[in-house]
Amino acid sequence: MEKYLFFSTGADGDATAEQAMYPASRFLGVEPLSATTTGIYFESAINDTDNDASAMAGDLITVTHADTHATAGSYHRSKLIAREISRAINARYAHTDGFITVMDKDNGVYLGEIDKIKADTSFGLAITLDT
Amino acid sequence: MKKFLWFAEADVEESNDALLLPVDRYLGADPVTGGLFLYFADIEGHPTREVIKLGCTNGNQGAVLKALAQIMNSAPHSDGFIVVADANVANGQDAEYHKAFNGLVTSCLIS
Repeated sequence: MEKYLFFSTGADGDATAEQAMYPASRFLGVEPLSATTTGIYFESAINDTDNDASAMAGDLITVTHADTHATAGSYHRSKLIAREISRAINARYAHTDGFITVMDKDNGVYLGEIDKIKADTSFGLAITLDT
Repeated sequence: MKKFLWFAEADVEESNDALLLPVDRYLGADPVTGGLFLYFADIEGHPTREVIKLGCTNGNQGAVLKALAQIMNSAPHSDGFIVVADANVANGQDAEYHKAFNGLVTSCLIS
């Protein structure tokens, strides 16, 4: 069964890039972008028809969060986010309909331990689509 | 089971300090003095590649590659999240290298 990862930015989801749902099979990875941001990458819904190597080639979910990279006993938020997405993609029974809410700021629903970082003062997410 | 590999440098703060990459985007490896380069398809989807250098003593590159193959084919993990090399010590933690390396890997750099 294919799983689908859902993101919503908290802007009501009625305009472009306010919500997105990607097949798990098109997940490319996670990396920190700065001390307070983490990037989640997917193959673009454009399906790379533009074949543009100079601009974005995939879609990017940018998560804004607290700077915890040098906090004793903590870690940059990117690792927590990466682990939760990996866990969700590999969950066998928890998501019977294949729909996985990773971050839904409209409804305040977050996947696993991502729920713990929603209290970060700067917490939010933005969707940047390949064009 | 879809496996994902975690790599991190000594201070995870910005882009190219850490990466989570799907195993199936591994492209290959090449030895270099003091370690070896691992190549993965670009995380942003460009027709380029991610380059990760695992540090080891010269002469141990082959053993590191053998261990890497074992890691990528190891028994299914419960969540598919595999820490291959996490050199992050910026927060007071100890660096973590996969036990299959048996202590041969001593650093991780992402470029």
